This record gives sequence, structure tokens and C-alpha cells, in this order.
Amino acid sequence: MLGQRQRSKLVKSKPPSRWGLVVLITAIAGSVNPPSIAGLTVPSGMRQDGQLVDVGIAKRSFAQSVAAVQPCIVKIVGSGGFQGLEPYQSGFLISSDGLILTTWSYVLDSDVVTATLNDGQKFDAKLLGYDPRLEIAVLRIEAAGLEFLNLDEAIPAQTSTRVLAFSNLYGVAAGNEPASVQHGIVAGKTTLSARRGAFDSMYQGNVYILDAVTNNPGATGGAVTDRKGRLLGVIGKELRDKQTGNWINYSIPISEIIDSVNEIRAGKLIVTTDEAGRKPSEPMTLELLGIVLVPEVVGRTPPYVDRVLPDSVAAEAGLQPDDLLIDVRGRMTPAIADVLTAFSFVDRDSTMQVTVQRGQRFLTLELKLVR
Amino acid sequence: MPYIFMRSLICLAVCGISAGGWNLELAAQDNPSPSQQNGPDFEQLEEDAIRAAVERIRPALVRFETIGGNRRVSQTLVEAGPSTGLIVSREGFVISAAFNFAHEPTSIVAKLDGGIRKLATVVGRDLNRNLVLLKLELDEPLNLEIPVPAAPATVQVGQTVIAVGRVFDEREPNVSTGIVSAKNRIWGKALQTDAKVSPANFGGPLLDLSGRWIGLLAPLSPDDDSVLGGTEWYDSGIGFAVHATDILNRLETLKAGVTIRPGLMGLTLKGNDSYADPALIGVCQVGSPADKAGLKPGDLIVEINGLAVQRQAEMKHAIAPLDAGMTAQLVVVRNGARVEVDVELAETIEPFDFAGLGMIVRQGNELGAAAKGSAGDLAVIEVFQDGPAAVADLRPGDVIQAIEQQPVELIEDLRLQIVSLKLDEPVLISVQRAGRVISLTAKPRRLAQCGAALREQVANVGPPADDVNSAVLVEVSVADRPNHCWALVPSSLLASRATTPTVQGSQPVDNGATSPMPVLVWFSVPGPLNREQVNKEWESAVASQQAIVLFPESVDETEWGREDFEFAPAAIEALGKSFSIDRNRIAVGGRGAGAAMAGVAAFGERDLFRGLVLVDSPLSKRVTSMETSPAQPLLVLSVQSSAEIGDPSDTLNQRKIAESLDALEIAKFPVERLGLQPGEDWSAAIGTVLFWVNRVDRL
Repeated sequence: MLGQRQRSKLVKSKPPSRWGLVVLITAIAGSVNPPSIAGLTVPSGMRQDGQLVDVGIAKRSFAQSVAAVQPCIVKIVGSGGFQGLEPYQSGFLISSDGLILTTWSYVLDSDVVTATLNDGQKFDAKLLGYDPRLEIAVLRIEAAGLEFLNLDEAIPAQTSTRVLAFSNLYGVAAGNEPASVQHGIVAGKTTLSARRGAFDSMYQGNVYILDAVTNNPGATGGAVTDRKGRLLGVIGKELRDKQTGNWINYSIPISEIIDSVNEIRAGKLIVTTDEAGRKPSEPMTLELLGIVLVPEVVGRTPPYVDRVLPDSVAAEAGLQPDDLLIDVRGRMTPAIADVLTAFSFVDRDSTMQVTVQRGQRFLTLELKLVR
Repeated sequence: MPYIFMRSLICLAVCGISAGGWNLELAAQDNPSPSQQNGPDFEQLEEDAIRAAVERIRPALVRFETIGGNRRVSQTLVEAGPSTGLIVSREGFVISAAFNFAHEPTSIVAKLDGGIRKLATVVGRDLNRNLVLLKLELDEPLNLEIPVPAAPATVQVGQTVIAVGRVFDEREPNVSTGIVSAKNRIWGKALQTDAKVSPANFGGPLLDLSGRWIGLLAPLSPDDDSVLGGTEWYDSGIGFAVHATDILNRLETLKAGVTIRPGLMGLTLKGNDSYADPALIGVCQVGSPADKAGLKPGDLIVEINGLAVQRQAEMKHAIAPLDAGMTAQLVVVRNGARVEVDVELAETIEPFDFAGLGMIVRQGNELGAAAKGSAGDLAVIEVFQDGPAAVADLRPGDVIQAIEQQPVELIEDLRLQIVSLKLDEPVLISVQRAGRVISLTAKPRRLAQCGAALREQVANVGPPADDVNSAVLVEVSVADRPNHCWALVPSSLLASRATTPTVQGSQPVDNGATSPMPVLVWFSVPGPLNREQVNKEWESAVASQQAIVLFPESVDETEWGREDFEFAPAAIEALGKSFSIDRNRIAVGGRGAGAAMAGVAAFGERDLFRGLVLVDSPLSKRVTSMETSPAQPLLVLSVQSSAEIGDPSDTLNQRKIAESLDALEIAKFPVERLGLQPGEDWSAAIGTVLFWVNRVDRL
């Protein structure tokens, strides 16, 4: 399961090597990275400039951090341009030999996808692989000796961490113009519960909510770093938060996607998008427990218990008419529809905790089918 | 989110916490102490301060989740996601934004720091700041540091502030930073910040860098005090917070369950530019706090609660932060002397009821053009049969000199004085008649009962007698507006009837010989205007009643929309540049979809429209705010066909019309009804409608 994989990654990932120690082996791909990693070494952008001298990651100014990351950002142009969909997005190099991490979107659904590097070099990009669950894709361009952001060096961020976001939002930059940089902080961490139009987002994992207006047309696939230019995440899509109905700015932490990227690089990724796989084949139902809720007459009908069938599991557990269901297994149930959804994820053989409001009190009841 | 999936993510988050120590270690490695650098690392210091401030407030941050409730608030679809509140006392009182509970949920569950759940109920409301106070059901007092407010004097524009909510994640607050953008916003009730303020932190605190709360984040708007006002500004860089001290000063009131409302005085000022005009009292409503305190028309307000008032907007700044029940200490200048008046503000003012005398008075009109330097005589043009003016023996041709021995010079002043007269109380009117000044005594009635006899007019409008008595459709175009618009103009107005001019708002096209014309803006069916039919139905009435009718077309051929509404004032402006129009006689009307549009326009442009004509239609439900104001008279004429017996849809419509007219009358708008004969088409009443529009400036 996805969660398990992320967990192991967090535990396994090691502190970054001291800069100067440059040979790293990606765990699965097994390829050897060349000695130019933007996050760790003196970036060429600075050397060409002649003015900026790298003082080491910890002492970087904002300007130095930006100069270190910019060479890795890629402007991607593909399909789109109809129905108001912009035909461009952002990405960044994740290997010296031309692998680019970006968002899996309609932009890549094209025979010709063009990747323009920071120095203006244009390449035809080939789709190496993608993971629709995470909505990420890896492209390959035929090049070598490039600067890149090493996913293995990515660090986690905390709320209030200052961040820099690099992307080609609104397609502002072209040719050798550098990508746009925005500044903000991590506003919070949450799981994505968002939608675009009427459709749920495929990715529903952990995200950083950003206190910066990053998620604009064309920005998706860009890089988010801390103020020292250390990689934190990938800029997400334009989405509305399901709970508040507001547009949100978010980034997917690298730890959420690194395993998948490595599998794509190794040619091993097998994607199953079987939604039903998460649901039990025999879910719990209200009928099985002997619960009858009030009729669902309006869109947000509160889940009041209308009747409890005699001798039922619910009656045994002490559920009473007029109890208001507050949550099912820790998940809030603001309306009857939420109760039904919550039930569909509970295996009928498991013990189910529900919380009800009775008068001015909360009660937690345990329900288990006797078979 | 699917349930099982979420479980695994909770597990992940727990692991994330355990990985936290590792992160700190990393931070220590990579962030050398300031002494190792050339000066302190300000960014790091600020980041640390932000974290510490959020940590300090965190135990007092409540996450609310609601069960049930409405899907819409005033017809707007609202989400009912989690929201934020701030604990302000150990007994479990929590302050939050009213927006968070505007959907009136069945049950409110509060999650405290650490995940404990408590039932919460709304105990107090502050309608002046759109806040609510909730009480948690507790078995024992809470053990936490009650948030410390920042003294208002310490808050400075430009200082860094932190907006905190508990919405995205129940374990960890969400944080947005910015600066104080301005103080004294929302008429002195809030300060403004560029930190991102949205449903993700409405009801949460705005903190300074040391973790003191400056204010409570809430959607607010300077010109929409409804609970949804200001929500459209979410995450825009324009956010507001109600001062913490203002909240704490009202805490005991809210705890006691009292609903705090804006404090009202019940007076109307002269002039209509609140940023230019002085606060000169025009009307003190009968029985209002202003009336009871002894304020009088003509008083100039110069100071409120120690704040100097030079313009009307400053008065609003001084009054708006005051609640009903509070006292406003006014200093007014009356007859050159400063007078101190204490006004105890009320929570409601009886709707203003227009008084009337049943006559038409105009200034600088056909009965005598204004002499140089004077606005012209206040000449009585018409006296309605059996009205108070007729009973008092006022006559056409009289020139009004004074009311209650106070000289009147301008029609605006006369209007304000007459509409605010006390009903049935005799009033002395001095008029000049045939070279002598005589005094007459009139007893004002409600303006609605002082109208001309409309029904007789229906019969009196016939077809145009000849070519002279005709009207011409003229195209009116406005630069940068996509709308098409036509004006039906009496042909007597046109300098030359040989060519049909196009009005483009630049050159006068009338012959300059006539007095200002009344204007009716008529919203027909959406889409292109059927000019042939319009000519047929309206021409004779326009010619005989001497009024201009403006027919805007909708941009969208299927429905009236916002841009059409915005177009109407622009079209009137354009018309006014080509024809002499009477600003006191501009009305708007329509039938069906056009009537809905007319209602919205009339109530949206109260300074512009003086009359509203609804044909076989109720007032649009989109009109939510109906308040009479002496300075913005609005008369309503309802024209109704005779109902078809037994037609249920007709009966339903009749009922809707009756209900909406009742609501208008309860709000004290002068409403007149014109019923058509069975089988009679409404177009038969067009002449009467224009007759009414012609007299919509009646007193």
C-alpha cells in the first residue's frame, strides 16, 4: 500500500551527504550520478556570473539559492491550447543525463513535447513513464552533464518553513529566460482532499499547503525548495479544496513520489488504478446493524437515528432513536451521505466504532456483527 | 477521502512526527549560529519566531466541524468544511466568525488541541462585526494559557503578522504570514492584512511575532455587512481582523447571550457625496434616537466621541464601531453655536414613512426659467384633487417661500422637509400668490395616499392626433459598452424630424426649447428590441405624456445579465447629454424577466431611480435590502391584469405579486396599484404608466 511505502522511505532516508561527497547511487535505478548536483555543489550559474561566490548551502542568500536552482528548471510545451487549457507546464531535471520530473497531465498527451532548459536549449522530450495515482511523469531528453535536483537529497518541510517555488507559471518565461521564482512559507501539512471541476483529484496523499500563490496555469511540475535551495516538493495542479471550496496552493513532498519515480526510472512501475481495491468486497451496511436513519430529504440531512430494530447489533450496543451520528471510525459524518460513504469502506467483519451525540453528550459505541 | 486510505495516512503522519527529531538535527547542522556568519540570520530568526508564536497560541485553537445545516446561505451555495475558533476563557468560551456557522448546522463539534471533542453551541452574536461566541460543554475548566491580546497602540502598519487556522489538518495549525496593511478599515472595526485569509482561517487569530493576538480573522466588507460580505476576497491579499480588544470588551455581553447589533441614530444627511459633503442633518426620523436626543435638521455634526468630523465618511467611521445601546456624544453647530448632544443608539429604526401633500413642485421650469445666480422659483405646478395641498387651498402657480416660517430655496431641501413632516400634524406653508405672501395650513398624509387619480387616466390616452403628435425611436450608444439601446422620444423634442439622429452622448440633439423630460427605462423581453411593436404600443403615450422611454437590449439574447444592469445608468447619462432630462423623474420598469431586472436596477441604483413600475410581476427575490431613505425616495407602481378565473399559474403569480407588494408596504415604500379590466391588454395602461412617471417627483 502507498502509505506503507512512504513510511519506509521516511525512515530509511539518510541525512544529505556533506557537499563535496558527490557519488550517489540511486537505490533502484543503479545509475551513477555525475559530480554536479545543484543542491550540493557550486552551481555553474554562479561561476559564470563571477560575482556570486558559493558560501555553502547553509550560508546561501536567497539570490544564491535561486541561482543554484534555476539551471535545473525546465519549461515544457505540449498539447492543449483549446477550451482554455494552456499547452505548457513546468518540470525540473532529476539527473545529469536528462531525466525530467513533471506532472502527468494532458500537456504530455502529444506526439511532440518540447523541453526548454534554463540556458535556452530545446529538446524533444520522450515520456519515460508516469504514475497516474500520483499524477507525476518522468521525461527523458538526450543530453548529458546537466545540473539537476537530486530527489535523494530532498528534505521534509515543517509548517512555517520558508520556501521558494520555481515554475513557468502562465508561460511567462520563454527560451533562455529563467523560470519565475515565488516566495512564501509552508502554511500547513494535510492530505489532499481536492477536486477540479466535479472530478476528484487522483492524488489524495500528503501535501504541503503553501502560503504563496503558486498553483497557477503552467506552474504544475515546478520545484519547491527551502530558502537554501534544497528540494522539498513538486508544485501541484490547480485545484479547489473540497472542504472549503477555495482554490488552494499546494506541493507534493518528494518523499511521496520518490519510490514511484525510481520505479519509473527502473522500468518497473506497474500501475493499478483499481479504486474498488480500497473498498471491502462485503462492506458494512445500516441494515445489517439494524439502524434506520431519518429520510434523506435535503442535501445536508443530519444523520439522526430514526429507529433501531429490536434485537439488532445496534440495539445491543445501546444506540437509540434521535441519536445523531457524529463520526464513523473517526471520520466525521456531517450528512447521511457521509455515513453511507464511510460504511462502504468498513469490512462487515470488523469492529466498528461510531460516535453519537445524545442530548448534550457524545457517546462512543462499538458495533460488531455476530455471524 | 476513502476511509482506509486515510487510516494509512494517519499512520504516516505519526511516523512523520517521529521523524521530526531527525529534522531538528538537520536544521542544527545546516544553520550555523549567527556568530559564524556575517551578522544574524534574520530569515531564520523570523521563521523561529513564527513557529514559537503559533506554538504559543496552539492550545487555544479550536477546530469546528459541523453536522447538517443548509446548503445555501442567502441563495449562495456554501461548503461546510471544518473551521477555526479561538478559546478566550477557561470556562470554554470560544470566539469565531459568524460565517463558519452561517449554514445553521444541527450540531457543532469542537476539536481541541490534542484531539478531544466537545459539543459547542452558539451563545452570543455580534452582528456589527459578524462574529459569534460559542460555549463548549465541559466537565471541568480548561487548563491552558488564555491568548494574550496585543494592545491596539502597539500595532503598526507594516509589522509582520501571522494568520492561523485549524482547517487543513486537525493536528497542526495552518499558518499564513503577511503584514498589517492598514488600520481602521471596515469603518474602524477591523485592521487589514495581506496574509492569506480564507475559510481556512476565518475565526482564527491574527498574531504578532510574539504570539499575542491582534485580532480575529473574519470575512468583512465595507459595503456589505451580511455574513457573506467579503468572502469573495479570500486569499486575495485583502483580509480583515476584528480588533482583539474590541472583542474582549464585549465578551461579557456576548456571554450573557445578548445579540450585539450596529447602533443606529435615525438621521439622514444632506448631500450624496460622503467624501466631500459635510455632516449636515437633513432629516431626523420621528421617534428615532436622533429625534429623541433633540437633534434638528440643519444641525452640522462636527465631532463624535472626541473625533473631529468634517465629512460624512468620517461620521460613519465614528459611528459604525458603536453598538446599539452605546452612546454617541455629538457636538453639533446650531445657529453658529456649538451644542453637545448625547444620542443613545438604537438597534432598529422604524422604516422611514414618506409624508406627502399631494402636489407637484418644480424649480427653474416652464413657469419661469431661473434668474441668474438663483435656482429659480419653487413653483406649484399641479395640485391633486382632494389631497392635503388641495384641502389647504394651495393652487397651481403658487410659489413656495417657507415651511414653518423657515425659508426654503432649493427643491432638494423642500423635498426633504416635506417627506419628513409628521403625519396629520398641521404645517404652515407660506406661498407667494399674485404678489402677496399668504400662509396656508396643511395636514400631511402618507405619500402613498397623495397620488393623482390614475384610473381616470386609462381612458384619457388616445391615439396620436396627427403627425406632430408622434414619437421617434433614436439609437443610443455608449462607448465601450456592447449593449444596444433605443430611446423613444416625442418628435416635438427633435430639432429636425427629417433625419433620425443617433445619440452618442456628445451633442445635444433636442431643439432646446422644452423643459426637462421624465425618463422611463423599460426592460422589455431579453434580446433584440421589436421596434415595430414598441412603436405601435408606446408611440401615442410617449407623444401625449411627453416622456422619453429608454429601451436597453440585453447583451445575452436569452437573459438579462449583470452588464445590462450596469449599462442602464450609462445609457441615461448618454441620453442626458443629448436631451434635457429631469433627474427627479427617472423611473425604471418592466414585465416578466424585464420586471425582475427593473427591480434589481431600482434597488441597486437608489440615487438614480425615483420610480419602479412592475407589470404583472412581483419584485425580484434578488432584491434583499429594502430600506426607505428620505434622501432616496422610490415610488412603486404595480400594474396587474385581471386574473383568469381558475388558472392556477395565474393565481400563483397573483399571490407572489401580492406578497411582494405587501413586503414593500411593510418597509414603507409608497406603493400604488393599477388593475386592468378583464381581457384588457396591459399595453392599454402605457399612457397611465407614463402619466405616473411624469409625476413621480410629487410631494
